[in-house]
Amino acid sequence: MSDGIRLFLIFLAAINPPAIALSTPALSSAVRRRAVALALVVAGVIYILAALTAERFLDALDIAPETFRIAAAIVMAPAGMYAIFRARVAAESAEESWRAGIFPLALPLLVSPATLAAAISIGVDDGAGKAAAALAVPLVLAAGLAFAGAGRWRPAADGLARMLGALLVALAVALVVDGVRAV
Amino acid sequence: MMTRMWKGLSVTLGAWAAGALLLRVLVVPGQHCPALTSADALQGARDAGAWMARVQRDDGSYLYEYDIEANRPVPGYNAVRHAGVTMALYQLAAYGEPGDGADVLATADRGLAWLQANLVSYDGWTALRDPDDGAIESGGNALLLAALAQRRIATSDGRYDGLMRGVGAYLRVMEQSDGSFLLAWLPTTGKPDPTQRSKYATGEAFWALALMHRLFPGEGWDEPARTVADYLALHRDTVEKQDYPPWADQWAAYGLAEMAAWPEAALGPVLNDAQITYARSLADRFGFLVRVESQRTGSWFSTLIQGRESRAAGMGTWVEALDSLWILASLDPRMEDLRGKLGERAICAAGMLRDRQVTPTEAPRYRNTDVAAGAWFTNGVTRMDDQQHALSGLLRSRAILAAGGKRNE
Repeated sequence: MSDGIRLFLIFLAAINPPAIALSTPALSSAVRRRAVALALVVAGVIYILAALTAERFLDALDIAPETFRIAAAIVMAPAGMYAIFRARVAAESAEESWRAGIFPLALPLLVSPATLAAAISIGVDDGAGKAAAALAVPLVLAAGLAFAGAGRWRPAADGLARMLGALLVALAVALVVDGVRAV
Repeated sequence: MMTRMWKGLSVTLGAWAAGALLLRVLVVPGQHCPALTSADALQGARDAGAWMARVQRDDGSYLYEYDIEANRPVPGYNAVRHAGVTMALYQLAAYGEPGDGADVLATADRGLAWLQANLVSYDGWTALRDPDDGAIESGGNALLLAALAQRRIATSDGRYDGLMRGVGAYLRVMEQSDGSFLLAWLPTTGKPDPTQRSKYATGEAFWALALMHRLFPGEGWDEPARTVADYLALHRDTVEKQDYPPWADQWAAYGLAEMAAWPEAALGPVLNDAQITYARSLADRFGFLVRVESQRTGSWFSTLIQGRESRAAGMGTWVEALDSLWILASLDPRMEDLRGKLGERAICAAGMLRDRQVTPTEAPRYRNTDVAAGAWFTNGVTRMDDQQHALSGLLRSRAILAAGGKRNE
């Protein structure tokens, strides 16, 4: 598997767009449009900052990137398990306002501990550019599905969300192995 | 009044912070690599060498093990470790500063005299025989040969060349066709014991044979060395049923680095791809061990969560291995991508070693200053191989520091 595909799959499984489609709170169309746009901007800024500052962040914490892979995997695995069993992202309902773009759409739907840990780990291992490139499609896809909602595709989204949850668990296991089997 | 957004956000971020804190405390505490300079590393090695000189007895043997809290020696002796300590002293003579040579050589030569007093010869070979149990083991003889090789590197003195060839001949008797080494030669049967292998001896013998080819090229020592290298790279972990391969074998790392520097390396890579893959797996293993160790602080909480700090005999082997793999990475382009990390981990572990060593100025705090100075203690006990491996690791880390592979200097 090429590095690009691996990174894309990590972010796709960590963000889990179908789970976000199923977890997005009920909002009117106008509010939803503004909230999703705001969430996309907020999430994008957070991810870019995370990837750009990843190395300094780990240096400040005195953690080797290889060791952080293990920590990232430990954060990702429970998120994957949650998605397997609930087909949702853990989040609450929101008020009918643009503020829903910050909570819960940006945090914790588009930006979750699992995705943030992945962004930091990939940012320091592969560089911020690769992290951003791998993240862009899953993020935009998730935002699009958050806007569109699952609608009549709910059963399909439910199945896909669980599958991506399983993929995230598998990738987390691989990341632990990678962290252990690294200099 | 707090809006729903702020309340939800606060709860979310609070939960994340709590999770991050838990993760930090339980899984990823900070990794601490004490600063180390080349002078520190050399001084640590010298202090360990001085320990060996102080605890050496008149017959050339060393103090084997000592409980500093009870202020008494722990009974026992081990001929293999004696050979290892003597080898480390010759390394200090070979790779220390010119001024280190004379005193260290005198101590090491007394250690060698003890080994020579316990030699047996049979059917064209010569070997060390353990005076306690009469065992003629591959491991001790491999380290005897490595010690003689280090002596020759340090002095260019050829007086023991015959003995080296004799011990080398013994090792060839002990090597099986697949490259593995049997544990011991049995005087009762006049043959190697076919039932026991040694997970240590194979790597030790590999390094010794690789050194023989460096010192005596053209005598055919390369072929048995290559056979062992293939066994280590391809079969050892399976045949010897290692639960978590690869077996963390610093002697194998020594041997691979030595092979990579053989004279024929000028014509092309000496190591095959399988051996490089094996070297990379060793790099991963030793790197991981250092990362875990660097998270330990010795506090009760760290001991509970991360386990207790490793003894110097163990940590020293990690530094020896990483030093060797760094040399290999400096010589073979197939390892070049790991060179920086290998250097970083080696210096980190060497820094921890130096930090945990009892320096001569700290020694008066202990009940026996002579035994404390220059030593490493685990639960109040030091054994001579603590000083052996730590000395070798610290000494050889200087090459990395000199090349700029330092982190905290």
